[in-house]
Amino acid sequence: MTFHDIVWKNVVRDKWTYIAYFLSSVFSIFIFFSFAVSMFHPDLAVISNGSMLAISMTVGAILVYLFSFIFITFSIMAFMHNKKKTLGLFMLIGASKQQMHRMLFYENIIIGVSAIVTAIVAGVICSPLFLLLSRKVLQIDGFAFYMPFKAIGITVLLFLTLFMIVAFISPRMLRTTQIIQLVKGDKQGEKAAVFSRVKWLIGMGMLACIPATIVWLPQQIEENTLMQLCLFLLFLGGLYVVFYQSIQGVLQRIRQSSSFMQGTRPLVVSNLMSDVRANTKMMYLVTILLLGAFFAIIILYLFSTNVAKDTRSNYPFVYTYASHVDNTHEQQHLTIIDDKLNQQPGFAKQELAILVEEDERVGYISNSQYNEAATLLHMSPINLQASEVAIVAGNVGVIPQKDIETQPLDKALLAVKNVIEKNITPTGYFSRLIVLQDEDYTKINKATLSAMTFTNYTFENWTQFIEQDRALNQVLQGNIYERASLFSAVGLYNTERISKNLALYIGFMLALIFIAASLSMIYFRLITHVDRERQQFKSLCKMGLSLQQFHRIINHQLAFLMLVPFVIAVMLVLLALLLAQQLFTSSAVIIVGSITLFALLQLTGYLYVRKYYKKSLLTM
Amino acid sequence: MAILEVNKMNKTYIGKVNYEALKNITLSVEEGEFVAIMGPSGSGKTTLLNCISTIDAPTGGTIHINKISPYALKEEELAAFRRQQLGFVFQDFNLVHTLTVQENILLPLALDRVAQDVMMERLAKVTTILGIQHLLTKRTFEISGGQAQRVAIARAIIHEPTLLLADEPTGNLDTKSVKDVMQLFTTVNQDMNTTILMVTHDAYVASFCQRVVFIKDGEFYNEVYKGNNRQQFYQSIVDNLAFLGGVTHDFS
Ligand SMILES: Nc1ncnc2c1ncn2[C@@H]1O[C@H](COP(=O)(O)OP(=O)(O)OP(=O)(O)O)[C@@H](O)[C@H]1O
Ligand SMILES: [Mg+2]
Repeated sequence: MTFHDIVWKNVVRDKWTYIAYFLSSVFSIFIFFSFAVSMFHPDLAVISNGSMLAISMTVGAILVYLFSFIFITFSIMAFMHNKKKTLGLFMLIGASKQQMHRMLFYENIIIGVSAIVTAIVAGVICSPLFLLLSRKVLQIDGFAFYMPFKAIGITVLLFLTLFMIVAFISPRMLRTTQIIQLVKGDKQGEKAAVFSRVKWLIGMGMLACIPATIVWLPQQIEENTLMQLCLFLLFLGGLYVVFYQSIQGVLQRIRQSSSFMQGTRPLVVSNLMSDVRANTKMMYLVTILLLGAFFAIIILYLFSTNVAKDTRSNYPFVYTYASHVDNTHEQQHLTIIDDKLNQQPGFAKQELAILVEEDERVGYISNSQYNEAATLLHMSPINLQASEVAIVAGNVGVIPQKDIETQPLDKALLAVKNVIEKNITPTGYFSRLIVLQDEDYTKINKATLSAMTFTNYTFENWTQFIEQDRALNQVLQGNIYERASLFSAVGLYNTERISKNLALYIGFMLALIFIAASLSMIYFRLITHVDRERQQFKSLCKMGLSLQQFHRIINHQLAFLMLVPFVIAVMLVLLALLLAQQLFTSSAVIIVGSITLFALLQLTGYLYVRKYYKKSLLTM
Repeated sequence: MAILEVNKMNKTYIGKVNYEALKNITLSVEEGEFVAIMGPSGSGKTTLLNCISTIDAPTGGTIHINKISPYALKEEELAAFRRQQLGFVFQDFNLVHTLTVQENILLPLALDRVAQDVMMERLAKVTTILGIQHLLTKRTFEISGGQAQRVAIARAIIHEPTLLLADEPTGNLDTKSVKDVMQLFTTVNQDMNTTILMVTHDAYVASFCQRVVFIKDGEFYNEVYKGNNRQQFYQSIVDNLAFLGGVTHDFS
């Protein structure tokens, strides 16, 4: 028997301790690998939207990697804590520091390598499915199965490095500890913590700062990344304090109540209190993970449902053909477009003559033309008198400037009658439009201006027009030249939708990883003390604890540990969405739906963990 | 020759209230001796043993084991010293639960990179002395408390340590197992000439030794030698305990 045998057996025989950690590592690596498979697909270069897919997958993969790093480091630290006693015994028998380091290093590498291998094998087997998913999300053809050597290479390289780093760091944590502390290990009770109302209030204050700042300083928060980060940290810190103090408070209140020494209650409560710090930490982390999962899905879903509306605020018309006066192909192009579109239900067409001040990107149009366009867009018409102007936004969400360059207008006195914040031309084409009374418009000094025609089209069910849009683009592509351009809301919608779908897809995968990690942490927390608990229940049974009471104790204890974080996470999500009211009202169904889905997942997890935990307590 | 020499040792636990657990303890154990330490609960027995076994540093005084002062050694040397010179048996936590009985016993040799054939030879020797050959392939949770204690003893002596240290090795055993284990200690002491220092609460257990050292409130109190008459020895142990105000059976 050599030293290596010992290390090997130490891991292999302890597999049930590692299983949850192992599985969630496998799961993370698996997801990473699956992203990588799409990322490095050889067809990527030839398909449209390929670069978008590559970028989203890369972002997804980076997020998975970062998260894995945190998760793995945290788990290793928890394992070290769990194994303190054994490590102390090894040192007592005379294992040298070098041997201890090597043992921990090999252990990490064994788990890491087997996780990587398992994940990649599973990943290769499942890769046709993932490629199919990518294909569906992107709505493309091709993207067939291939042997993803590059993806395998990168996954092995990155995760092996990750495990190596962790394996290298983790033994350092032993450095300062004396053997006596290691051997005493879990017997060293935590310092009894006391509920402090002041600390609780401080934590609440920290949390309350967040909605307050969001309400009072929305502008600053939107612009300042540092501030966002601060708010985020404030939230994490505040939540921890409130969490810790509230649990303390509740447990202490129960303990002090007169009905405390009744039935199984003292056992449940004192069990929870005995490692209240570790329990709280675990519950807190689980809450954060669940919050991450919820937000990843709900927010991304909400974004992806508003694509059609967003698209039409960017491109108010379904098609806009913008043509300069010297464009000789105008008639030819318009005929092609007309032919394609005029069969559509609700087809309407409108021509907008615009005089353009090229330097400032300002357009001038007449009142009647504006009204024509506005009617098509279901906006209210305006009625200008002589010397009055209206200013129309050129960009989405940017309120146009009011001061007017009078030079081309030949008029000193102009009054701004209306400011219209909604653009009627494709966003960004103009900085703003100036609407003039029809007669004023004829008198405009055209010397510094160039003439353009915007031909606008709308029709119903335009989101279904994707195939025809592609065909139209193909016809016009080689044909259109620099004096004209075609803005297609259909095309924009499609691109936007695909990228939102991609984000949703990646968000969903991340959410799954978070949920797996949260279950893994709960399992790990329980397995850490399974020996002690087993002993305790054995003696309690000797004292006359019935099996029914045993079940009740475990049920309550696990329900507390698992369901409280879930409920808190749900409440926080609802609160956050309530703060952003319009989001909430527009998709209450979706939110309720996804929370129900998560609740089911969590409940299944609870029942499973409960079953296996009870089993492991009763056997052996 | 003195294997263990403890000279004016002090141990103060630093905490909110500092507590002086050992005061000026001086103790010498000869090669091949079998010594018990007794005293009331909280008198500092475990603390003394921990200091000697190099797992908790004393705050004053000196310790020499086989003429070496372990606390002066460098970290790697200390590990080697533990590996080669010391053996430990504790009351409860002794075995690595992921390893089998055989692997647990061989652990000190594996750490010291002893050759395979030497390992097997020594294993055969200690397991025959202790009568645990049939347990070798079992896991630690498949054996009884008394058996586990024997395995722990096997592990503590397989590398033929200069000094064997045991803290209440019979703490949770039944009368029959207590007797077995104590006979084993005696056998190990006589056949392998291993020096043994053990802590116990039990006068019967202590009567297997050649000398009993009593401590009280962290100070040396008295010592009695066995001489020829075991019955008389037992009686004087009981008397001393009564004087100490300790109880022979406590339920801590
Ligand atoms: N880590 C510690 N910190 C502070 N005081 C301690 C610590 N360990 C032990 N003590 C104190 O030192 C004294 C001696 O403890 P020790 O464990 O050596 O007693 P003992 O003689 O082994 O008792 P027992 O027979 O009950 O095992 C006790 O009063 C104890 O309260
Ligand atoms: Mg003790």
